[in-house]
Amino acid sequence: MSYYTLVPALPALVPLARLQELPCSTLKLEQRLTMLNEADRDQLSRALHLCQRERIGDETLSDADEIARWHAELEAIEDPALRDVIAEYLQSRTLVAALRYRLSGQQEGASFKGFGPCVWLIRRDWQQPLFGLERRFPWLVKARDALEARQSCTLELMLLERFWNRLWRLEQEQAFSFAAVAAYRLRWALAEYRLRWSAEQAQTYFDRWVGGTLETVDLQLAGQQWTGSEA
Amino acid sequence: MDNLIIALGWAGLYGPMALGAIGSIIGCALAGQAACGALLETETGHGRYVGIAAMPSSQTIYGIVVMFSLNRTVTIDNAPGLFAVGLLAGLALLFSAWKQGQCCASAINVSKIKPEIFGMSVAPAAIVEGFAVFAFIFALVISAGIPA
Repeated sequence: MSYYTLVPALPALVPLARLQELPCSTLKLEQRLTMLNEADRDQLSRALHLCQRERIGDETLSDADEIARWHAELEAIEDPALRDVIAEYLQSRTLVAALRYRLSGQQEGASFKGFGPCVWLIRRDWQQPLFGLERRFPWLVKARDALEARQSCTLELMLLERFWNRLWRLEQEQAFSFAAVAAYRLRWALAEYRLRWSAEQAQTYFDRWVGGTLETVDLQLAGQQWTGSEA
Repeated sequence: MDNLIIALGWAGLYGPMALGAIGSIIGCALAGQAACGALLETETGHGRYVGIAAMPSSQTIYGIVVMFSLNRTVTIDNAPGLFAVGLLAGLALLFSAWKQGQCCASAINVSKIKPEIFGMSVAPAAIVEGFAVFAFIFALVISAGIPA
């Protein structure tokens, strides 16, 4: 379905790097998004849930449960272009999670749970610096460097910008379609997330989050069964 | 069989007008919807959005002129020519109006974000219009060769 009225009614978002404030309230945006039909609203809600940066209400899920939820939610998204972009994003989260687990000292990748077609490669090439995937995903080099330097904020910004740019491209490629509306709403969610935290607060939050994950892995490596909560 | 050929001749006669109008309906609707959306998000320049939304209506006018240039008594001899020229000119007008509507919608969408590029953003729609004019002019030229 095309949304020739809705797309021009969406206020423009400035690039993430220059973002100072949202152009209008989220409530006002949601009012405009009522132009979406019910099926598309449902798909958009799933897409937002899949791409939210904070885990709200599902903190206790294991990696396997989280991945199963991702698969189920993604299958319910009918728009192929949107599904591909979200799958790409979830895969990038998997790659970063693998880097984090390995940095925390996990010695073998057989038990690693993740999303996407590269998971078996990650498990197989766990000992290689970037799982042998640096040619396919050149950004992994920067991600690893940021993780090793404990620059969580830099890494988070890099991931946000990559996803932001991909969504922006999708908006241009699928003009006036549901995918364009969904990509815009996901960019809005990223902008909200970015603005919610000052750089300092974001650093503190992310360090605490990564620290918690690494502690969990340390405990598991000490002999407990591995039930990490971050994919 | 003769009746069918005569019917096709009449279809060719009315085709440019009908197909051009269908294209204009689609094109103006697409651009008009975009203009309505832009009205929500802008404080000024509403007139030009509504104006640009009317651009695809020209194809209907071209269709009417082609129809009149083809207008003659339909016979077995001239029906195939009327059908071929009328149908093809009509299809060209239909698609040009449709795609021009999409160009206009895009122009409205981007000029809402950056009003200073309004003129440039209309250029693709004008180029599409150019092809409609080609189809129109050469339909007039070639219709002169169809037996009266």
